Order: sequence, then C-alpha cells, then structure tokens
Amino acid sequence: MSIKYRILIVDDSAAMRMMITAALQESEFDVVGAAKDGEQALQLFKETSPDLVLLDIVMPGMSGVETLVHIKGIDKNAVVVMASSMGTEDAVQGALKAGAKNFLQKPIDQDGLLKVLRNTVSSL
Amino acid sequence: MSAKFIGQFLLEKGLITSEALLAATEHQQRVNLTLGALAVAQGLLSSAQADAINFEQQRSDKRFGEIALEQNLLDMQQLKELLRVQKEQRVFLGEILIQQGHISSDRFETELALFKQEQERSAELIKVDLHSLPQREAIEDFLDMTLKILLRLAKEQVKITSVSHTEAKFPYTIAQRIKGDQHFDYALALPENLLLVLCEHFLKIKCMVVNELALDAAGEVVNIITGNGCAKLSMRGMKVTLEPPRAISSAASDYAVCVGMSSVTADFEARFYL
Repeated sequence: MSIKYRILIVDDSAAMRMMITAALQESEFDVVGAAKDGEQALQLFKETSPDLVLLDIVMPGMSGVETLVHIKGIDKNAVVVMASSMGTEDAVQGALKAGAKNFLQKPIDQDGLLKVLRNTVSSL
Repeated sequence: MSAKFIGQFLLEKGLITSEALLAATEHQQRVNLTLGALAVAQGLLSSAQADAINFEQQRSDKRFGEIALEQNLLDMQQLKELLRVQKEQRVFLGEILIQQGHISSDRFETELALFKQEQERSAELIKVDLHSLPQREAIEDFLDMTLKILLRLAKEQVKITSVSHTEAKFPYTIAQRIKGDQHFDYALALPENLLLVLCEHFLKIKCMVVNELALDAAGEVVNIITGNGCAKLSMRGMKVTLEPPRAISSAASDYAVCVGMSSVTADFEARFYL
C-alpha cells in the first residue's frame, strides 16, 4: 500500500479550501482538516496531528506566521508549507525564518501544489 | 472621458449592431491565436506546457515567451518565428466587419481616425490625472496588475476609462489593505457578469449566482492582483504587507486607492457586449 500523508489546510478563503481539497483528491495527500483561521488551525492540529500543514500567510486575526510559531510551539518538528499571493523575497524569507519547510505562491494549481508538497515530504 | 474598444465605439455610434459586433469578436478570437495556442498548433509545446506557462503568468509579471525561454521550453529562434507568424496571421476587428459587410472600408477608415483621436485625448487626460496623484507609482503598478490579471484570468480585455472621484457603478466590491512603506486600500468593484466569470475561472465550476463562495473566489482574485502589485512595490525597495481581502457593500468605486480620507478611482471598461 502506498504511503498516505495526512495534511491540514489552513486558509481563510472557503474557495481556496475547496479548491485545494479538490486538487488533492486521489493524491497521496489525505485532507484531515480544513481550518478557516489560526485558532481553528491550532485546535485541528492538536486533534489530528497531521504529517504536514498547508498554511496561508494572509489571514484575519492570527496571521499565518503567528499560527506557524504556535504550531511549532506544539510540535517543533511540525512540517509546514506556507502559501501566499505575495512571492516577494521578504515574504519567502520571513516564512522560512519562522520555521516553514517550504513556500507556495498563489494562485495555486494542482500540478504546482502537488510538486511543492511532494518535494516537501521527500526531504523529510 | 472615454477609452473604449473600436467595436464599442462603432456600436455606440449606431454604425454596427451588437449582433454583428459579437459575431466579429468571436470570429477574431477564433482566428487570432495566442502565442501558447500557436506553439501547441505547431507542435512546439504540449497543451499542458502552454497551460502551465499561462498559469505562471498569473503570479509573475512576465510575458508568455519570456517564461517559455526561462523554462527552456522554447529557444529564441522558435519564439521569434512564433511571434512573426502570430503578427502575420493577426486579423483586426475592422477587417472582419468590412469583410462581413457590416461597414464599408471608407467609413471604417474615417471612424478609425476619429477613434484614435479620442483615444489619444483620453490617454492624455488619464496621464494628467495620474500624474497629479501623491502615490502615482503605486497606483500605476496596481492598475497595471489589475488589467493583466483580469485579462489572464477572465480572458477579458479591460481598459481604463477614467481616473477620478466617482460613485460605485457596480454592486460587488472586494477590498484589501496594503500596509508598510505604502499604506492604502485597494478596492475592486465588479459587475455581476465579470464576477461570475472570475469565479468560474478560479473554481473551475459553473457559477450561476453571486453567493458567498463567489465573493470569496473574487477575493482570492483580488489577493492575486494585490500580491503581484506588492511584489512590484517590493522591487522598488518598499516593504509592504497585505491584510486579507474582504467583500464590502458600499465601496466607492471600480478601483480605489485610499490615503486617509482621499481616494482615487479608476473606471474600467470590459469587453462585454451581451
């Protein structure tokens, strides 16, 4: 049986959560939860202990980077891929410095999404 | 102030019918191939490769050929040849309208000259309006990204028709705040049909009505525009961050950049004939 990776999606946009969930269907990534904000993400992270988290940076309330710091506080080995429409050097650096394993620039397409997630898990 | 498409110009003057214009534009879209479609037709790229480049264009301010070269999918000679063929095969709207007998050649030439005069006047006025704005460069960057993303995502040609203080014309507005070295709100107000088109392109499902999900998808489109706009500001050495996009019901305009109480509005004209 092929390996399945359990993934938690965090994005304040319902359209993005829906699109990403659909893109991961029939892939080796099982969506174990989809959170709409940082607080819900932390709750679902504790409940589901996912193999990796796809985390939007720009969110209302707790930002993606703040959420990442809290996730790392719960599990320092948590594997987090950050997503943002802002592909600037600062944004990428900021996410990586905060402990993200990888960075995905929006808009997200299925091929690009799977490529980044596969690269991320292959380096574990 | 007016900046429109030649077809719309003729339509408004009653020189052609909307049916004739629609048929001509559809014909033009079928005949005038994009560089990607041309490369696929010539067997230089697969459809998947062309799609991937088109998608990449949504997150980088680069031309199709530029990305294809960077990814070693085309070489310079192939690109030059594709551009030559594309230019050679290009059919203009006027040619189609004349061929199909909707307007005479002489009349079209006269109207085209008038149209060009109007366009030049309009472009000059927009330039003057923009020049007087305190955040001109940022506004130009965001206007530019708006036009590009709407074209790439909705496949709709959009032109700026004015830059002014005006009331909202469209009911659906998505706003996003940019903070840091530049501080302003970007707001995009959309007509229902364009919002649904964007939603369909984004979600890849048929969107019939404007609901929360459709507004949410439009929010992500705005997020892509502002993300690209911020990348441009960043290239100018400015540090900026984004707040999440939000749908608002009473924003001022098609596009507004707000600094304190002042706001700048740019009206867009899209190619919707139905």
